[in-house]
Amino acid sequence: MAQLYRIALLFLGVVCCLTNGFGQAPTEKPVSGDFTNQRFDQFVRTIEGQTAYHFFYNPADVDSLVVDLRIDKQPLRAVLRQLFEGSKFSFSIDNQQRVYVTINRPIRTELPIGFFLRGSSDSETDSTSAAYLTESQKKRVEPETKLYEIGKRTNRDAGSPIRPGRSTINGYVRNVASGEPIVGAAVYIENPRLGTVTDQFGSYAITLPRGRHDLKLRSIGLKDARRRIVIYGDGKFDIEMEDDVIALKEVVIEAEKDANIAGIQMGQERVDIKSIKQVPTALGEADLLRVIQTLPGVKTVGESSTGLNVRGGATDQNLILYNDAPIYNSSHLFGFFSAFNPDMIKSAELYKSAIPARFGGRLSSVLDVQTRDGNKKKFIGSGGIGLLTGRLTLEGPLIKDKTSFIIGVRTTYSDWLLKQLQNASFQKSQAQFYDLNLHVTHDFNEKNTIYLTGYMSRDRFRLNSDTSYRYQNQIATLKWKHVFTNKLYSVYTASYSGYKYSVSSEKNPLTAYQLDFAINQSQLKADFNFYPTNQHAVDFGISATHYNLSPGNFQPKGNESLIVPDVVANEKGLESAVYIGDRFDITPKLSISGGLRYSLYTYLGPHSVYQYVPGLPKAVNNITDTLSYANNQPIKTYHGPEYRFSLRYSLSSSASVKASFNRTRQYIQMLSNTTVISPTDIWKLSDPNIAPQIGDQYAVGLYKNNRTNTVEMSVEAYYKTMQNMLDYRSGATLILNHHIETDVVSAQGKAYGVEFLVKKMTGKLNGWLSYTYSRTLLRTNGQIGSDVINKGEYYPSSYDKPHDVTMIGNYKINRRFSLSLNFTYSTGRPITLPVAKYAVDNSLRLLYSERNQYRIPDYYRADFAMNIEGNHKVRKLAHSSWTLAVYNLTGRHNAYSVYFKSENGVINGYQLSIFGQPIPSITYNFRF
Amino acid sequence: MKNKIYKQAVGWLMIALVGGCVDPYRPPEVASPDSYLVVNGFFDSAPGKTTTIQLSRTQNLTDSNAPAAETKAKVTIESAHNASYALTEATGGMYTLSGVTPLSSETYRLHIKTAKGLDYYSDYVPVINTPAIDSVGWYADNEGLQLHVNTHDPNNSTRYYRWEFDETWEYTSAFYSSYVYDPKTRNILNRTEDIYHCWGSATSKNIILSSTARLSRDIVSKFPLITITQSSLKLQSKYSILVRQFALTQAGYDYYDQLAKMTQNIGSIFDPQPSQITGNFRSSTNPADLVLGFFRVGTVTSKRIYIRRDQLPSWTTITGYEPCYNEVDTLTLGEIRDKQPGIITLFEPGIYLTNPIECLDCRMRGGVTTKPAFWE
Repeated sequence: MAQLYRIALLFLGVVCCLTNGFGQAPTEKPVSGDFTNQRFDQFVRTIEGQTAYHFFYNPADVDSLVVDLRIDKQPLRAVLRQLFEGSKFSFSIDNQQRVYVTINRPIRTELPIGFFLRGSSDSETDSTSAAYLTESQKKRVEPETKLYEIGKRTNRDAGSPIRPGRSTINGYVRNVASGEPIVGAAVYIENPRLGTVTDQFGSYAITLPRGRHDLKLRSIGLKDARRRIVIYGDGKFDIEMEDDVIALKEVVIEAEKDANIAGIQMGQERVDIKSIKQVPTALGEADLLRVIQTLPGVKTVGESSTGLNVRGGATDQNLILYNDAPIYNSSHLFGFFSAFNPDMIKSAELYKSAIPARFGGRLSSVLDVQTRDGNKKKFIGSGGIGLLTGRLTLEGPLIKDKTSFIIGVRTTYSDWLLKQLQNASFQKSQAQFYDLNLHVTHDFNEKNTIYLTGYMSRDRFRLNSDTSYRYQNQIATLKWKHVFTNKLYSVYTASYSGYKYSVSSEKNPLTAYQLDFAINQSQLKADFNFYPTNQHAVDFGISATHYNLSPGNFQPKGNESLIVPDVVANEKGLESAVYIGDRFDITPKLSISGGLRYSLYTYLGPHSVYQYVPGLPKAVNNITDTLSYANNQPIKTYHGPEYRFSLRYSLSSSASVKASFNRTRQYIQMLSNTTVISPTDIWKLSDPNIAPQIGDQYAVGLYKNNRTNTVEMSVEAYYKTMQNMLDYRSGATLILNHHIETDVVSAQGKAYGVEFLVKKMTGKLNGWLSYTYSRTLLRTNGQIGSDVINKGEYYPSSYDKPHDVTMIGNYKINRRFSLSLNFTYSTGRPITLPVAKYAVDNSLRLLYSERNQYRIPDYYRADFAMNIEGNHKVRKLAHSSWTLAVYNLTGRHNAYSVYFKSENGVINGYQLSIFGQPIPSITYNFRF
Repeated sequence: MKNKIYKQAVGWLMIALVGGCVDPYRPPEVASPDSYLVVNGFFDSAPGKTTTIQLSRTQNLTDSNAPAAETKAKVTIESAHNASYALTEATGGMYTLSGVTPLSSETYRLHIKTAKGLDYYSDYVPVINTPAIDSVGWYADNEGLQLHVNTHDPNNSTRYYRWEFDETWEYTSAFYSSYVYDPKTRNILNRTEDIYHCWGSATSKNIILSSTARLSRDIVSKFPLITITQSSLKLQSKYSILVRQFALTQAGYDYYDQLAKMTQNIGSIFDPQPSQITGNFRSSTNPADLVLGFFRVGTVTSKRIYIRRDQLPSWTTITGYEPCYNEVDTLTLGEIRDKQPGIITLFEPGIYLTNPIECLDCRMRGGVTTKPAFWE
């Protein structure tokens, strides 16, 4: 209402002004002239010569303005009105016959009535001026009705002010409140159907036909936005979007509402922090990896494990990137928590197939986790207190609108809790972790931005034994984004990622030891994005990664220790890659995307490499020679192309089919004789005896949206082959093994499956339901002896879980209360069981089944959570919310592992469950 | 009170976190598996030796009985050149062959036809003669008594070795018992049997293997067999070890190596993956019908040594009889009738020196009172 009132008054004011203008220029002299394709300054010179009028304008504003008029004794006011009609120019003439030409808004040639009384008058009487002075604010309120002009306007061609053809516009999409870039927002026009998605920096570039368009924007958790634009040429256009207050805590997942239909990417899942926070977890803390595990095609071997098995791949085949640097151990406290502080994460994208060419180095998937940028406008903080952990995040501007930071810390007080317990075994236990995150963003100018990320996590635990484990991740990333032109921008990244663990025991001073493992990875890369036309989106780049591994360092601890030091020689390798990819929209219905990545890997000295008798299993007694190599001397080079191809065809505006093929190569592998990521896993570079893994995946998918994009359905099927996978010989030893090739066997893998997903993202009831059928099988490559497992036939890998059903449901009772219910069912993972006992050479032996021929009992779990938001008053100390959750509602004893014990000559089987009861938890979250 | 409830809650959570819970697990497949044939023994190529092959069946994991013997089978040893020697069945699934000495240039296989008519064959294996054991040595150090074996093959052709050993040790109980209480007659009699001196024995349970394939010469030097702790009862009086040496083919070595790697210590979250190991037998009809064991043809060589207590440093033996010395009692016949302890000797008329019977009867520590035939 006030708005309307202000507009009305403004209108009155303008009318008033015009009246005054007329009133004060009774001696206005008519002008004449024949102006054909004349520049505006020529026109001005002619008019000034004819009359007493004097023009004031910015020559730069009008340099493209061309006058094409024939005037015969007309008043100047009428001439100018005719000239500027429909353009962005305004004019005003004061009583001194001075003509002011401005853009968008006429200059007021008189002060508003009562201007000098302003100090003493109330706002009502000053509303004209107030409205005038706050016009810029009003504009922001109503950006959707305004017409934005992009590019230089040229109307040399008299008939139309717009040249035919296409132009590229680019810019940033930001949150209006925090200035934070919005990733994955869809920017599109509907006719013709053209669109793009903002990248990880919130920037977009789109090539559109010149002329008027309704540019639409959609993103999760934000109000749909629309901008009326006129494109005259290439230009920059930043857009701010508002938070969708109506959908508070209720928007579940996924970026653009029709991305699954319109986008070319398949096998991609995007999860944002809002959906992460809704999924109930064991100890009440929002956990990114737990949510990723509920997506179709993603499995995990065990309850307390954050290792992912994506489409039949092993846990080491996932590139888990945290702002572009890999995290080697993504779990805390033996997997009860993931390494990601939920307050720091903006979103995560998981690529299961059609992995873009810019990613490489792992076989199965890429999980690209992005941190939030700090708030550029004001300081805010947030945090949470749970049963076992507490966290605090602070963010704000360092230089307003230019530099922002966000810093987060998370720790557990479980150590303190353990000390409080009377039970001696708990008091001897220890479990502690913390992680620290820092992210700084600085905009130098429109074309240059740098991002600095630091991450560190440390874990220490000792579970009722004398052996203590420690591990830590360290990550540092520096990124510089440089925009060359509207069509070309680049990102240069330098990153370091380190992981190390140590196991030590000091119980017996004579045998006190410490075992250390470390991996250091440094990477440099340059990525370029180029949009030559609206039909092409090209990206290309180059990268180099240096690995330095210390695979085992066993040292005595203390002066009394008699342990003999044992050091496994360091390993070094250099992995380089170049890539180019292009997305080509052939027609609005058909898009293809092709990419080629060529990776080159060299295993570097100093190192001693064992030679084995050809044709025999690699065993210690088959070693024929040892070759020594000098520092940085290339020992073995592997290289090869990695093809990435995908295709989308729209069947209708709500359905499409997609297909993809990709090849990936992996030069570093994790060796773990257990199926979960444990801190004592070993990473191994490919070397002359262990060839790199190569994976090929073919996938097809059908996507259908119903009910105006609110219900999404999709079916994806894939077939995958993997070469040079590693499996282990019987009783393999991995720790402190100087010739690990003697304990592993080379295997080829195949995996196939179908994934069904139904997802509803809006409304009171939302969530998703997925079903996956998948198999993953291995077959050993060797011909003889210990190289052969299960007679050389295909056998299930230890993470083969054929059936998997997951349901995530949220029900919003009102704006402050919402309920979530999760349900998960999956087939038990395969295990090798002892099936009989027998005596050979006087001692009892167990006969095991062939590898992985049995399964642990099926897994079933239901979780429940309730979110209670504090009141929605704007002014209060802190906004708070409570999360009450019950994990494993039915208290089912899900088997985590199965083992056998010899008891009085009888061998009994036992199953171990990690969470055997319902686990309730309560978490308090706050924001200030 | 509140604090207590809180602590209980936290404790519960910690138990859930740290302890998890353990339930019995008995899948149907494991509870009733097929029973497979197990073959023990080898074709002894030493002239004049008797070859013994033992056939039995695998057992259910929860079965606490002795393994069932496979009887009424036809067992033959066949050469690659069609010579065939039938074994004669003895009792308990034992099959023997005497008077046949294999040709060292020939290969042989074992053929078993069970009473059910199923045929099982081993691979053809060569005759591998085992070199003699050069010596069984020992030394005493802080760890205890370390025993090791030395051998060599001057032809550099054996390369793969396996050893078994039998240990025997003489030991005594806490006290010599001169009398025995007879519950039937309720009287005390003279003890006729010596239950003070015993001989304990044990056989090697682990698979002991070594390969010289990486060495330029086929020499096994000081290969460790067993370590006996300083305080072991085995070293109380006199100790003897008999080491048997078997030469293996590479296939045989790989079989035992894998079997050895199969950890005995089963049962934790971070167990390595075990796998199925069968050996060199197979069913002629059904590949899924497993046969366990490894057939070899060759000789066995052995060596025995003795170690007397006085050869060892002055180590203190912890016999387990230490508490006995505090339990010596003096009891009357009536009290003996009542408590029935072991009797050491007459203390004074009507009163006997007594001790718990476990302290007097050395057989209760697993030994036998009969002196082994080889004992010197």
